[in-house]
Amino acid sequence: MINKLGQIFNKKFRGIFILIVILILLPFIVRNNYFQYILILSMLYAVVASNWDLTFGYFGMFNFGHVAIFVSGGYVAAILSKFYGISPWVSIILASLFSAILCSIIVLPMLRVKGIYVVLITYGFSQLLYQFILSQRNLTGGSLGIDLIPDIYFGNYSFAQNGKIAYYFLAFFLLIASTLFLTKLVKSKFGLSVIALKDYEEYAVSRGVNFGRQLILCFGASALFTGAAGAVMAFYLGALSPSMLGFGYLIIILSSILVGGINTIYGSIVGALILVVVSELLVNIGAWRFIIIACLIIFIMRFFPKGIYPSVSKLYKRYM
Amino acid sequence: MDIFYTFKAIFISGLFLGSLYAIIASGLSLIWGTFRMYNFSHGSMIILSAYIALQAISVGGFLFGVITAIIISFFLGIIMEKIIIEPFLDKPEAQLIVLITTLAAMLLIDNSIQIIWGARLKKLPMLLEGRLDFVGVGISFQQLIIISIVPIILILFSIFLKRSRIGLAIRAVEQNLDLSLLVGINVRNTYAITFGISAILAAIAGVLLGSNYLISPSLGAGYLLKAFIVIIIGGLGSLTGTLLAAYMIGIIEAAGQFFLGLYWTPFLLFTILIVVLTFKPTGFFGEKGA
Amino acid sequence: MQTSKYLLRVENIYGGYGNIEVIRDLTIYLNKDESIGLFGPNGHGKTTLFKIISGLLKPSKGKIIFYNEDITGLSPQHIVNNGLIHVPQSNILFPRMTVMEAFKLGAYSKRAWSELDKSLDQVFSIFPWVKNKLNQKCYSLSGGQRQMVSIGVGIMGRAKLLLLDEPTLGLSPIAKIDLLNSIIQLKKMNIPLVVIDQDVDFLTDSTDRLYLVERGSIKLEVNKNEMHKHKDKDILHMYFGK
Repeated sequence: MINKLGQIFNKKFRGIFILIVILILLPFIVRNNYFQYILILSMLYAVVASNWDLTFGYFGMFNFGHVAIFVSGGYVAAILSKFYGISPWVSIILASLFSAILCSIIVLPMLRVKGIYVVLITYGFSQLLYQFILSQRNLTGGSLGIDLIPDIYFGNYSFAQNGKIAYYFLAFFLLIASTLFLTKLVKSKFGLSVIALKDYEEYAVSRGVNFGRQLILCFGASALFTGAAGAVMAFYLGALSPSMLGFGYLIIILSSILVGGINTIYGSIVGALILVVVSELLVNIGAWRFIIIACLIIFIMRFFPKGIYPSVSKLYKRYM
Repeated sequence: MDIFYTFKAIFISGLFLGSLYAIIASGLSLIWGTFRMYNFSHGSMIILSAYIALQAISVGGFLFGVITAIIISFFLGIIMEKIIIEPFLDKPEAQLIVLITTLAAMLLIDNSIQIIWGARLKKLPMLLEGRLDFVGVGISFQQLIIISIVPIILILFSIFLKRSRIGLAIRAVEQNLDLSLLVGINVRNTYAITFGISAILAAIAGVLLGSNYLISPSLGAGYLLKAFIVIIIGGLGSLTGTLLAAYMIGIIEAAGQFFLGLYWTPFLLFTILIVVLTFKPTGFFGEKGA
Repeated sequence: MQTSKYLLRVENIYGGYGNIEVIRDLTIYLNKDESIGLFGPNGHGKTTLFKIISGLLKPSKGKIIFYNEDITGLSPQHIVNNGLIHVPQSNILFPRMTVMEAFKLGAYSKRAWSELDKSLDQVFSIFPWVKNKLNQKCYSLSGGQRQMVSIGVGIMGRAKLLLLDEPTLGLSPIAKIDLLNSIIQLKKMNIPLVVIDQDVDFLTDSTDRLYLVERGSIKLEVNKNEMHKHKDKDILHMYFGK
């Protein structure tokens, strides 16, 4: 017990601990619905971004379909609860499992190919998903999207009450759970084997690491919380639209990883927080929003290729 | 329904789609061959050129419009190469970085189109109005023109690559970068011009596309995907493979649309992609180790 | 201004790849009317030196002067245009192009393009067999043929100086004799050479002066008239260390 307390005041955890405390208190201090909305969005996107980094930064594979998995998780939860009357809590879990399985399946054709083919197959897959959602009007509402998604209940308490503050804590909890999962995974034997595969593939394989198996597991793992986040988003917003499968959203989440630093989980989270705030601030200027974000990305890749967060923290360490 | 007629109709429709895909894919293939990278903004460049042509046509007529669009696209291509490709060519993970920057460029172009011209559907004027009966199948003059023009354009392009001094340089850089430097080729200029030429092909594709279909700012992504499928199935690095695959995909898609309907055809194409990648990852004519 | 008697001066060059320094304080001279050879153990910087001279790599320190012009740090394109041509080691040429196209590319520089036909005749006179192979793709040539076509490509550039990197690599003894004859013809055309090779006998037959390159710098310089004194056993001694 004393040890654990000691751990909390350890320098490394201090920052995170403070952040967590702030996040917990924030919705009570600032009682602004829009502000809360931005925070919930950031936290959910942070889950998506940090899980994307698992396959992108740690395995070195660009999963173009990651955001599509996120959205489809939402659709699955929405459809299950709206049309089949399944409890939202169960829907979230089912959506999560569905996403993990779906993501593992995408991987199968990629086992025999390398590098940029991964991009194309996942790109094709995301387009396919988009087509599917558009075409199954009865289920998904087609291009109009799906709305009137039921609300989450905890006993008699409706999550939509009290300015939807319960959603805030649900998203927060999801972020914590996801981050714990990711950090444990990365430090585990599995995580180390993945990093070994990325950097020293031949050696790793010769030591008995099964590339295909780790690939499938990694992709599946990255989809678990992503799908869950999609489901939570569906219930929070009450509606979903296929436009979320567009490149605009993909780029925003991708930039979170780029800004935050490609190999750090916390970096992606911080990146998502920054990027969602920035893009929400720009939402009123219509198409210019994406133009600015696109220019930002090119600028970042040019001058901060390892991500802004690592460069800034290097500077920070040098002057402190 | 007369099965012979169905067969002819699908074939003609497939030829038309194949022509479009051939010209779209050739621009993409050029970039792959020279840079070993994928230009995710190619689809958007096609659509952009269509809009530019539309604007220019309203100012000075059809021929003026097309030529203006081609020239402007060429210079846009060179500028793009300097900004989103060249600075990253010698970095580690260059392929991944360029993927991201060309994605960003796609976003930039699509949204710029929306700002400048609005989101409403538009259409380019056709060279020739009206339809005719071709071997018993109804087809528009425009489509017939496109089917006939595309092979000519591609042959001219192929001759250009083979005979001209610049074409020689482009192919040299593709095949042996170091030796190209050692024979005195200015590789950076060659890179820029290659991108410009790819943009010209995109412009031609845009004009053809826009004269036949309604265009909107976000249309690029779908054509891009089809172009990717074409060059992968045809085999990366092989122009002949790309062209054959284009027509093949065109016919398959036409058949798919007839038998499976509009919404299921993408699944068919994607399945074909997966099957080809599983059994013959280098495509039908591809080089090893792409 | 004093006209130098040196064709090429490579002075106190330092250079390498990234943080790895391969060449350390290397100096060699090429006089007019002579050819020089470079020999020494593998991996000690000979090819790196050529890459620095031809502009593929930039030296971190030192100067390179060609025909009185300072070419240090210039682009390969500029250097080729000055007539300094580097024929690389184990050249795969342009695999899917024909031999004729490869020759055309050899004459790509502005200076050489206008004299393409003249250069082609020169290549034909040295390698007459190539006339029958013009339409063959480069990848289908044998190793020896590729080597000689590489040299042909270098000649197409209207070279005022040719750097040949390991021209005898992988060649049979008969092919080496053919190559030696071709080199003699090159010298008759007044094209000076700097040759890297493992075959020290070949070097002594084709050049006038040798440098031993060891650990990125010059360890020994051997003149032609001294060479017959050092032939065989002594050179090998020097080559493989004490």
